Amino acid sequence: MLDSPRLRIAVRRGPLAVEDLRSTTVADDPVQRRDLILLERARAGDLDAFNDLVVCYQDLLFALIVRMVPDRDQASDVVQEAFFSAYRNLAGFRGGSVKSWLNRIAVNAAMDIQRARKRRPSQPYPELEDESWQPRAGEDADPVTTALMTERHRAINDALATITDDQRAAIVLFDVEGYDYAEIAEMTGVSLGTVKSRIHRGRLALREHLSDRMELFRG
Amino acid sequence: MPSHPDVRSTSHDRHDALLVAALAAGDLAGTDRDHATDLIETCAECATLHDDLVAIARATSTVPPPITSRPRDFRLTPEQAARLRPSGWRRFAGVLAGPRLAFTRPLGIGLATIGLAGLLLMNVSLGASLGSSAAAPAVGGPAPAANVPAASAPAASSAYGAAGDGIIRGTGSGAVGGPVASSVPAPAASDGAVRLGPLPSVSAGSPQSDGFGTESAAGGPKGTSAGSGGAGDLIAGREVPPTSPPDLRTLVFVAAVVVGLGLLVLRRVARGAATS
Repeated sequence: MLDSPRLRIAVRRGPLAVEDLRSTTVADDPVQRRDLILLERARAGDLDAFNDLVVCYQDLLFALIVRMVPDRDQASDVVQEAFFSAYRNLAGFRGGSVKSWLNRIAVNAAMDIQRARKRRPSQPYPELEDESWQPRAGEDADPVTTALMTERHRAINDALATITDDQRAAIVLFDVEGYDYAEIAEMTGVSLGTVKSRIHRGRLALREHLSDRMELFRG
Repeated sequence: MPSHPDVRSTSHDRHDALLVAALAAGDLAGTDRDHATDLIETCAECATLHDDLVAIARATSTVPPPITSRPRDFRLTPEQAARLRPSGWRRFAGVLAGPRLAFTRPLGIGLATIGLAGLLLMNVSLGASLGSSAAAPAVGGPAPAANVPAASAPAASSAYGAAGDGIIRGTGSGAVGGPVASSVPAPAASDGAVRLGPLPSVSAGSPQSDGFGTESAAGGPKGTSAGSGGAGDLIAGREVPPTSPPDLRTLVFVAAVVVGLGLLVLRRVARGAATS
């Protein structure tokens, strides 16, 4: 009975709709095809293949997570834990985009760490004062514009640090990383409406926090 | 009656900021969109809020990625990989929690639901049948026990043994008799109710019978002991009703519940173990 074709199809159709939709385009994308090949090799026990995936995505994951957690050390911990978790759960990959799968694991790890930190609060966001957050200015950059941009980014980062973890995660994933609502909903395990609500409320909270600095963003 | 000024143009605090935020995000359509647009057109503060939210969203999307001060390497060492590689229970949990066995969850839910529904239906039908069987003799009246002489009532009670208590309770009233009788094992109760249902007519002449079924129901054995000298025999002679083997359907439904819940719990534990 377990080998009946009907059952096999039912099992294969198990993953969420978003992944199903993506899986139809996986073959067309060379990056995703490369990722899937590496993942298959990693599943077969090839550690080098998994480490190739790590090299491909570690900077991307770090850039994502460092905006969601208070400091870089925590971001490093989260990303490392995310890769550990990914390695442990290689068998649980359901197809679709490897990048989204890794992002989902990392986002969940970040949320878990944030929840744990809430239970044991520590000094919040000490590294936001770190100048390394600011972008490098180009050779021909206008000093005034550069200063304005720097101040704007600092203000945004300050404000992002004040909103709730859920709102921050949704805004970072939507505005910064460019994911759509459905992808964020899948990553964070909430409904589409909740994602929208978090983004809307988060932006309102950002505006509230930036109320005395809004001239930086106007005009 | 004075006409109220347009609230939207006078009190920004009452305006729905979330609606404006949704409009700024481009998430509205239909009447909501019209309403939000109306708000922006009629309320200067709402318009400012809308523009600010759009500007914030634009600025957030241009925040550059942080510059890494030192190279980070998250590659796994062979030792770490060996430590992380699932083995034993974790491997089994990984298989169980994996997509190949994803069907176990709906299967478990289905089995548990079917089992619970079956048990519920069986209970309902059993209660209904017991209720009708207990009520039937009360209506039917004439029964063999009705011919038992009053003097032989204790003996009769003793002869009917275990059913005695149930009978006396059951005769309080037809409506009450059903549920009470159903609280004892089914065969003994129904048996007793059928055979000794009309006992009130017998015990009407006996000392303990005062015509109040409710009193008898409250203290059947006690009343019996007061009414006859053979009460000790009656209590001592009470037999434990024979237990009938459980119905096959009951076993099937219970098994379905157990297996269904077991599958759900096992998969949940496996997922927890696999992701930890």
